[in-house]
Amino acid sequence: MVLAIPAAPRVRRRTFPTWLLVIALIIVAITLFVTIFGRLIAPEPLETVGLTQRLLPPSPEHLLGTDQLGRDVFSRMFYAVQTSVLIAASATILSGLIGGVLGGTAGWFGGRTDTVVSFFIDVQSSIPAFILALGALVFLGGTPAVLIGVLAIEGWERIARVTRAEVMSVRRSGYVTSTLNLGVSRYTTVAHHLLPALIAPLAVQLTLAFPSKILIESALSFLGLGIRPPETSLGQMVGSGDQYLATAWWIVVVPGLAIFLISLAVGILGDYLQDRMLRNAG
Amino acid sequence: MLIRTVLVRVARALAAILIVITLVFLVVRLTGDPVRSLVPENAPPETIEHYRKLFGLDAPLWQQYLDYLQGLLRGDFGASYFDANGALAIVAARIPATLQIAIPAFILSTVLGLGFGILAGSKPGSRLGRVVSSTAIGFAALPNFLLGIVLILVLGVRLHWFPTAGNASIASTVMPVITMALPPAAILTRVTQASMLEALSLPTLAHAQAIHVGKWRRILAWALPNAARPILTIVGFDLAYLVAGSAVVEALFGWPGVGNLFVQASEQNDYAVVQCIVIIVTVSVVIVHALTDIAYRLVDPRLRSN
Amino acid sequence: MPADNTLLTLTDLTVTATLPDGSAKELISGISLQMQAGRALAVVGESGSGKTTLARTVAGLLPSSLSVSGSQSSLGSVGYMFQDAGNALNPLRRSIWQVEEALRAQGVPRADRREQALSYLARAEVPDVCRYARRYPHQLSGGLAQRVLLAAVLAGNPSILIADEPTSALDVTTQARIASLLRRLVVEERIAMMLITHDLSVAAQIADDIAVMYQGHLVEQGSVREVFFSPQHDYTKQLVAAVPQRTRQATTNGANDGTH
Repeated sequence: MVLAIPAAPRVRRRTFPTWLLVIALIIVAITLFVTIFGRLIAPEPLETVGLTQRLLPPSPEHLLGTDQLGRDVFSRMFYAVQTSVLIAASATILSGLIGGVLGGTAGWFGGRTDTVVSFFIDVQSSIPAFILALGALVFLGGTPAVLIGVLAIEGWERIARVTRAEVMSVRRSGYVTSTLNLGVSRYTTVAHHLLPALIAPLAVQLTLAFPSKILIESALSFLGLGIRPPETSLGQMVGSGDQYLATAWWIVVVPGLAIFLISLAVGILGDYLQDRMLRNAG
Repeated sequence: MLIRTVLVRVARALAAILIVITLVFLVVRLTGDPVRSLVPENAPPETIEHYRKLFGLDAPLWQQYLDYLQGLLRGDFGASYFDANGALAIVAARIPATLQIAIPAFILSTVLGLGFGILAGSKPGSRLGRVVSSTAIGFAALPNFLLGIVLILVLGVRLHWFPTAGNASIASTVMPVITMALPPAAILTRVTQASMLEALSLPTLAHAQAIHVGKWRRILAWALPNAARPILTIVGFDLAYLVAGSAVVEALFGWPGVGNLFVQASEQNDYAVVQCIVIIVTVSVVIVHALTDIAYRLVDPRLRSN
Repeated sequence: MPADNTLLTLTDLTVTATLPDGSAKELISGISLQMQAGRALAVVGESGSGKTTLARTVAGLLPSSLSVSGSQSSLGSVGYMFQDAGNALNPLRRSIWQVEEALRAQGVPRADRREQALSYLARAEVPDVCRYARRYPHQLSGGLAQRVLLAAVLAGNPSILIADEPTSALDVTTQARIASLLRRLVVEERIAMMLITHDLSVAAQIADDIAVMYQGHLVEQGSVREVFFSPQHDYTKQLVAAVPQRTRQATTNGANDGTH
């Protein structure tokens, strides 16, 4: 094939500095570890209150200081990270299921089904999810179940669109059509041809969707509408410590930083995976 | 053909609005009895019944729904349970305050996002490109309340440059506006940069170079319009986010806008106000979507019905 | 009229690319040729022969990552017509804008652009100019898009015009029309044209001279008649042999030998 030389400057493939990727992976690994074992390895139980030790700055005894109720911030972080990540992850998976199933159905069957589902996908993008989430949480309570449900509603349409496109391209592809023509049952076709092809794009989409779930949960809990005491989440820690900003900034900055780092790390990972996937496909 | 597309879009918009209205109605009615929060704890049942009848809460659910819809069509958003004025009036009174920070935030984020995005996108692989990209990734992952907190700590508490609460002066808008503007600006920067990079490698750009079109003319008149679609999508989101997203920032800075009102009304189970805000926000989001759709068509003649 | 109307001289031109593993690869090696006003040179070869690289080098459109050695001197400006007109034109703008942009780049004041643009479109033999001037690229047929592209290139007043496979994507009838238009430009406007093509019969229709490229080297040069009737190099012989007998007769009968 001819070495097609473009006249415009060739776009240099986005270099993913290895060190950045390594740091992101480390953060993700730590997060996963804390998420899985949080409750088991936290230095102190969640309800421990030490009213004589309120608002202490970081020290050898209290690595990250204490909050307005004298609770050790470092210890609370274990619970908070676990809660926040579990909720965000569950919401992401739920969102992925909704989007995947709806988008897949639309893409596979086409025609009327597609029109109807696509209509609702578009309607969904017009709905201000955040505002609805606020409302739902207030009236239905900030239980994890409601929170997960509400978070899952935000963003499923993006996953649905991608799934629909992928399924459509697989469905129309030569080998699937001929497989079906040969009389292979639809179930087998779906299982052996369709699903494996979806794994990569879906994994990428889910990874990319995760950060916003954590960010939104934090915002909701910050407003006092998400996770409520005695349970705690990263956003809840930030929200409850808000008034002590001037005197005990660590109460707020530590969980805030955690939110930032986790969503950043996962975002970088997602970008990298997407890059790899596109590179392999093209 | 054109009529059909317009009709579909209108149907979509109406469906969105109707779904949202219904959802809100249901959710709000399912829990939280406003009467209980109004009257003292040990009020006799007759008083409670009296208030129920007063607010029409004794009728069956579907009746309340229909009444509500009818009221909406008349422009009556219901009366707040806590304030003598109608819900619409209450909400409307708060809108200027929200716009006071939301509009400057939108302008700032769009200018920053486009500016840095185009600049970075026009020099592929350069140091500037990488710096902009990394900074943008960082800010995009930053929860806006964290940014606000840091700003308050540094600029407000330590340096005393700007007031940290209330809306007394122009100076007090500075931090809320920056807090609202930076994360969307970061996202817009990334999208613009990526989109510009892609557009610059289009064959038509090579042709532009061949007919000796100057560098910045190529970037602005040839590449940018071809990169416009994803950019318009994000700008559309940001515009829609204007109204919907101020809640957190307003809570943080004690800003008396619509977002703050929403949170308060939610806590008090003030149905009418909550519903009113949700509907207004949904309608504006729907309008913004329609505008974005039109914008796509204006930019790209291939999308026009032909 | 100066006796020597050479507009382009290439001496020992070599373009080298650096491969990802660090080694150097010569895309074209030691190319020497000349082009005169009013004559068309067809550069023929298969994919990978380096003919496009050569064209881009002459037009100054190489990416900066490639290194060039040897010398190149030209008189006047070089115009480049891309192979795929549909992709080269800006998809978002009308035909008239495409030409007006080229005029703008030449410094033509706004007030004069529209009129001049219309006249260039007419020179490119766009029929019903006022109507097609308002069309977008996706509304143009292959041949029309080619003409709009040509108009935009001509608006730069090039003394050397490079046409990259101008006819490959077209049907036979349109091919013939475009070919004769290009020939007319060479003869009437005294443009020096470099025609990149893999198709010898098209070369014969338009060009006076042929340069044969094979794997980055210039293996044979000469007038169309010479190359067709007495090919020297093995590769050229193969190329000529590949042209169907009757086509060869027909084209060489009408071959351009610089006299018309």
